Amino acid sequence: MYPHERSLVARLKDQPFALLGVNSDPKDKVVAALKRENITWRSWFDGGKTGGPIAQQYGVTSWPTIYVLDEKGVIRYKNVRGERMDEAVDTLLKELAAKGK
Amino acid sequence: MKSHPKSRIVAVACLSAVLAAPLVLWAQDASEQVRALKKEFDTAYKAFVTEAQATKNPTPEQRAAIMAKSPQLKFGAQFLALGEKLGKDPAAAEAFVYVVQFNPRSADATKAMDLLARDHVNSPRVLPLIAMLPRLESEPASRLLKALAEKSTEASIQSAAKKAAETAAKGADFAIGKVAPEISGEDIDGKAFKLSDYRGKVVVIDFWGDW
Repeated sequence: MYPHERSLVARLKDQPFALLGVNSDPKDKVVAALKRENITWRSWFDGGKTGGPIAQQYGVTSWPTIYVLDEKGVIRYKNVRGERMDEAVDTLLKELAAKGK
Repeated sequence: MKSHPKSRIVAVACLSAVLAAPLVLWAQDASEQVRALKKEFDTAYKAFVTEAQATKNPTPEQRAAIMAKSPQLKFGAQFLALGEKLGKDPAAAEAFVYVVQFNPRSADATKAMDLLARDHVNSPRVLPLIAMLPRLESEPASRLLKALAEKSTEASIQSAAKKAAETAAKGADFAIGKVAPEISGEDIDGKAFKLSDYRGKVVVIDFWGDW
């Protein structure tokens, strides 16, 4: 997952786009992963285990779980991975750009 | 009636033996049939996976063409037909579970879920299915969960179904088209930030872990 998400974030660094993580690992493991994988996006630390407060709030029971939101915060896609994540994000960015015109 | 009580008992015993024998045979035969079809599927699936892996880095079109050949599609229909033939026999439950697992959004799966809800709420075979049902976010999946939660007299099934039904209800708040609920927390450095800080941007929320 990391290389794909890293390239998505890099490609869209000048766009109105953000990838936000919710991480369910213990702190030391997160720190190691951030460094090793050169993770450039921000993550909420979710209590250090699965079933943390944010995962519970969102009813997440399987990982990874993905939500793609438009600029208003509306859920537009779920569990799109790989190329489908890129397609979803690109579609929403196009929509947003069209609105701005 | 002139017959001696003792001979009557013997007669009844003989009669029930004669009646019971085919029932036992049928039961063995039923689960045997499900097992045989599963074996056939496993072989086909193994061959399919080998073939699919032979195509390196498939294009989306190639991937769709490969997936269309998945034996899960064909065998789903076969397991459904077998399950319907076996009816209320406990072995049918296993066949229906495969139908749902193979292709959960198919019409076959809808039928299988409704039959499970009708005839097999106490079958331990449904247990592995319960966790996946909320994720389907579909009407038949909700119907099956409801039936298991309300009609099953097996405590393990009932409690798992109740829990999954809660997850499903929660899932409805996170359906496509709903505004994602606020997330407020801290990053790994202890700095607070909120989801609403990112309004105006397209956002991917990624629940991840390092494995």
